[in-house]
Amino acid sequence: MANAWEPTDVLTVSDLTTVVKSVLETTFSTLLVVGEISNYKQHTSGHRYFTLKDGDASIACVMWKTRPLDFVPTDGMQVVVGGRLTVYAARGAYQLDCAYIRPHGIGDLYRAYEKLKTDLAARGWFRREIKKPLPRFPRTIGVITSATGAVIRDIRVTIERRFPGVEILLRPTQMQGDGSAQDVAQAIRQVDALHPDVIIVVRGGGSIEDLWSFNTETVAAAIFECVTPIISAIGHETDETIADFVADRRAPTPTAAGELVTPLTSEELIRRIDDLELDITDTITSTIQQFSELINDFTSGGALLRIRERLSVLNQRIISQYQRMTASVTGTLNLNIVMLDHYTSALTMLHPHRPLRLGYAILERDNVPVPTSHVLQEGETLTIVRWTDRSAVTVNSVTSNERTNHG
Amino acid sequence: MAKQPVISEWSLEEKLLRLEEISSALDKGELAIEVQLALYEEGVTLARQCREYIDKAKLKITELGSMLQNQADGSSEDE
Repeated sequence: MANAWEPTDVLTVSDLTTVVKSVLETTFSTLLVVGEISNYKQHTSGHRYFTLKDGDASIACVMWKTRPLDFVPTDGMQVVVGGRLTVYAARGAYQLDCAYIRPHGIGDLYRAYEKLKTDLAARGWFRREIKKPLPRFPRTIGVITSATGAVIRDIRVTIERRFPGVEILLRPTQMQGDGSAQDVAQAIRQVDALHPDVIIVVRGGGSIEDLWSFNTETVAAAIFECVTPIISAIGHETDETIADFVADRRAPTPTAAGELVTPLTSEELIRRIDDLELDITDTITSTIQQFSELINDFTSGGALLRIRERLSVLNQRIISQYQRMTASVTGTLNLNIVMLDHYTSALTMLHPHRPLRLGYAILERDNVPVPTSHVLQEGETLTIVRWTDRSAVTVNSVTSNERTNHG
Repeated sequence: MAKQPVISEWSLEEKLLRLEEISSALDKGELAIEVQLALYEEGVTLARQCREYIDKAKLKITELGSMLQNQADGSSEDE
């Protein structure tokens, strides 16, 4: 290129560099650059350095540690970098100061998605046990979505139709594009701090690029740390985002999210209340009925009649007891009489005077029977006792019968 | 016995729970008639309040944008 330059001034290197720096930094203050990452390094300081290249060129890049990074970049990954050009005067070098990086190719987006999903699953962020239950009757519902469009309208219509007795706190939020992950995360924290009963993060689906914010750790962390039960309605039914996994519940559509936060419709609730009122009215009515029957019974003398009946039953029992007792005693007495008869006749048989009736006699002296051991003497005076009479006799002679006394 | 809260300040959910509690307590029928009558009266009042609340209910939407702006300014990102 032939330039008809007539330099009048001589510039110092510094002067030139200052001009270059000024021109470059002013012209390229906000850039979006697509390229392939190579030589990616994260220093111990936390800053990241890499080269962005394509087939024909390359540029040095730096991303300071204060910049949030939602995934782990690797060499060969296609990325879009947002940032500005800076000139390092001491070396006459320029570099890209990156504000953010996101994967560019579909393949890279999926790889980053799978990587984050694996990491968060390992951290236990998707565990079923840590899911918070949704309230039965939320009064205040935080909604994080775009202020305009079909989504908020769908939610509004659904809730109004089913159960209008609630307040919606709408936090208008940037749901896609650069910076949306940060805005969504901030929205979740802000709404959570207001302590609604439940929060819905909702977007009407989109391509994986559109939904990228909801596959970032920034949004996942905000959902994970949210104290309020949170529903995510981001992806379509088929492609779930990381946000859907971390949230306490997932809804496939904005309408479904609206139904989740109004589990009972006004009609169902009124019916439930009516049923309960009927229940308690039935119960109390029958209790009162029972009570008044009791009182009627008393005043109409029925109670007295029943007391009489009871007394009569008691009386019957006493009588039958008495009869049983008598029967038992009589039985015993009869037995005793039989025994007595038996013993009486036995005794009669054994009476010493019984042989007298048969003609035997008793020999007595001084009114006492003479024992066998007594040896009679001639001239002894004795009495012979018979059944019919007594006679005094004198022994004439004694002859032994040659028997022992013990015979 | 703990001090009874003012019923009208309860949320719909609390009122419905109380109504269910009253229904099952009455069902058991083990309470004195005076207690049953008092519970019944409370239940009917609760049912009326719930229905009134539901009938009057209107959806209210509050946009948080401007309200949170001051907060957001304090902690906004540096870009």
